[in-house]
Amino acid sequence: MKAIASPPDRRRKEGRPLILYVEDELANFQVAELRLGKTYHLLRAATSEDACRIVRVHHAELYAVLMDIRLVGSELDGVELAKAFRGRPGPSAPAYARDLSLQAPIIFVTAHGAVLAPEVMAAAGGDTVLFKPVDFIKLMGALTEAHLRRGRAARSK
Amino acid sequence: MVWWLAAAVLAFAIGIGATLRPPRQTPRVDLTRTAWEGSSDARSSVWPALGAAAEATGGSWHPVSLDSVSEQLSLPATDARAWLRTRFTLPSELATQELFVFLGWTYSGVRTLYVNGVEIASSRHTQHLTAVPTEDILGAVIPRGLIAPGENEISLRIDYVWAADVDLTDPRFLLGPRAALERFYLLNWSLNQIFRRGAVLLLLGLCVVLVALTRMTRDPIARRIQWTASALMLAVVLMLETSAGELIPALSPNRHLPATLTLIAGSVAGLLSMEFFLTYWPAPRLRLASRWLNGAAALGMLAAWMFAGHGLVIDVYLPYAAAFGVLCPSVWAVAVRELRKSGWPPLGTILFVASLAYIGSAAYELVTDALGLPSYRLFSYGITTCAWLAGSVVVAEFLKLGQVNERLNVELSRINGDLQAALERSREVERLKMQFLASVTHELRTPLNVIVNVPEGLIEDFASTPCVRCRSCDSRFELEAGERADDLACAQCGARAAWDMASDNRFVGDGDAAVEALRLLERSSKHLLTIVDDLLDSSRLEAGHMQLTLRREPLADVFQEALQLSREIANDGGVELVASERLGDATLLCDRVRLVQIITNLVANAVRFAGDERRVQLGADIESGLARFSVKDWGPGIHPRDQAAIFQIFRQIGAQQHRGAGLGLAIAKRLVGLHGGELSVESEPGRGATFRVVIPLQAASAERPEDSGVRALAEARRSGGV
Repeated sequence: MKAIASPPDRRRKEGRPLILYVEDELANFQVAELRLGKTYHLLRAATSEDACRIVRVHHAELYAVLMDIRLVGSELDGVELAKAFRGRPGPSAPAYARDLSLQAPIIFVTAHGAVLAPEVMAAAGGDTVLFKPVDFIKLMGALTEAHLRRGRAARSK
Repeated sequence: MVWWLAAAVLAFAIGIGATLRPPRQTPRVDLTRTAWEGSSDARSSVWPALGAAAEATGGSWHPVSLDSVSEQLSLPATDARAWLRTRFTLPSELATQELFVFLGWTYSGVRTLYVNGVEIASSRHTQHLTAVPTEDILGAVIPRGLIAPGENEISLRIDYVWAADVDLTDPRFLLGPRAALERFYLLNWSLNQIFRRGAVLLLLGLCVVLVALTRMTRDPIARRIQWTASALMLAVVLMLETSAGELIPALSPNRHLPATLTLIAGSVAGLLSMEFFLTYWPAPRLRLASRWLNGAAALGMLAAWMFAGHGLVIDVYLPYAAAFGVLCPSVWAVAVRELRKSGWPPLGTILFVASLAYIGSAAYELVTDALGLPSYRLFSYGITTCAWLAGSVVVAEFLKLGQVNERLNVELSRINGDLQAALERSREVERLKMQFLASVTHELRTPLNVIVNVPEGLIEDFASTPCVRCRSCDSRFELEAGERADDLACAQCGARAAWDMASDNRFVGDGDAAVEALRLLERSSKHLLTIVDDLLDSSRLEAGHMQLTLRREPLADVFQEALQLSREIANDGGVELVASERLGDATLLCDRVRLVQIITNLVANAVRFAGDERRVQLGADIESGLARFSVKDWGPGIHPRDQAAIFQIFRQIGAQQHRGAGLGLAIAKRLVGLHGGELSVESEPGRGATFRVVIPLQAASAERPEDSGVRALAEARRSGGV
């Protein structure tokens, strides 16, 4: 019997920045993992509740959040969820979405191009909107850019 | 207008009530003395010419007016008898002449004339309850020899059918030489006839005009109004002639009824025509005042007629005439102006002429009554009625216009409503389209995301090394540092300097992850294909272009195929699929692919809405010639009001909450219809849903016979498939 060499474990997060992908559709997450898995460690949240739990635990180490907007089976949609991450949950938000605070960039990844106006996105605390099918080169660029911007903003403070 | 109509209805009701009042028994009244005494020299100046003639002949006869008698006769008395007696001295030169007695105008009684105790004339005494002609006794000749020079007695006995009918406002009682009085009598008589017949002819003429107009009118409302006006006029003609007793001596068993109806019809027509005239009245306050005045006058007269004295029947019209006389100058002026402005339209002209006649007759009657001159009541009856009818025709025209207007308005608002509804529908369709488009694109984006990104991601897992390739043998070589391809010969075939630049790609990534990604790609591509197929199917079904390929299939086989696909769908959705099948060896003429599609669509729908139970039950059996499939879930269920909508294309209840383009159920429904079956749903909110497909094994009917698929089905069956 010959042992097959294991490929490098994608699930090992050491050394790779942590990204939360809030996405109800598994296929989309799998694709993201295929494309981003070498550089980043991806956590998936299928519902708003999962997402809030992860943010509550990992908010300090999260490098960025990718956020789908239409979340089937969730109480909150992506925009409301982003507001909750930024500590501004809506009045009807459930308990799990309260008292969160997240500094990392939030990048909306959505099919709802027309629905999300830039000012809505900004008001929700998002950094950028990308549309499906996702261009991952653009996505990585956006991640870098968001971090640079935040760094500048932090420095100028 | 409503108030006038209400007043007219009230009047009509009162009139009918009065008509049906039973006759009262009252004592016989002999008024001989009173009559004689009270009227001996009454109004001797009434007929100056005749008075002069009487004087010239040396006689002492006088006109006798029964005014004072009638006042007393207006006591409600039935079966009353009155005697009028006068004595006269006949000059000797007249003793050899035939004398003429002119009784003037009397109504509604049976009269007998006696001279010195001998009956010389009598009104036709037919029946007590029929109309009595008055003319017979208007003039009577006293035969020679019956009257001696000196004192004579002439008596008139009046037997009243009903005291209620006594009308003695204008009887004249004159005695004179035949030559002197006959001319007067004849003139009277002829004028009377002319006026009456003229009135009747005018009414009939108007009827003809109206009927002719009716024939020319297309508008049904106008036709109705004109027919009504014609009928009304004919009725008035009939009334006139009935009460006069000429054409139809005894139409009504109750003499009172025709008079009442005439009165009421006349009143209504009068009120209508007044109302019309008032529309021309420039000052609204005066108009209002005159309305009240007229209304009060009309009701007052009705009351007076009903309760005070029946002799007042004729006079009902007089206050009208008076009121109109006050109104008429300005009304007339305005009417002329309006008519001139509109170029004398036919109806307006009729009205104008009629109004002139009306004014004339009113004036005539006022004057004759004031002076006590003989007045030919039928003139006013006829002419005023004509005027009123003409007025009411015009009013009817106005009403008709109003009605036409209203109908147009109604029509318009209906059309507006239709347009609004159509607009709403088209907005709804537009909204559904947009929603559909949004959900379709959203639905497409997930597989496309995979299809676009998986190959790109996999390519990144390949390490690419530049190399050269021999043109003749296709062998590839990696160049060492410092080597130049142009200097080298192919190590394989020896060809020199025949190199292409190439690259050597090696997979260096995670093979398991790559296979996983490729499987994902495969699934997504199939998913995309399904969506596109669904879109195509639904567009074909909508256009009625769906073609079924019909074959006789064993149902159990079809079910197994559907079950296999359903299991895949259920697995993908993380749902447990419980299947049961009792189809035996039944076969069905069907399109196998479509039948499978029906079932898998229903299963996919159930999986999508499986809820927390994560269980879907699929069943199939045969029951009394029906193939039955059922798909049950324990999900959120469907509200009854939405149960029809879920089968509509582009429709998805709670679209924001669920995936899918909303086509599966719509397609399934139509496909089942094409198979001559029925797809139904049973559901309660919160308690899941059961979709049932029932297809007759020997289908005879189908959802839409015009569908080509159904035609194909029918043809296949005709050609021996079944």
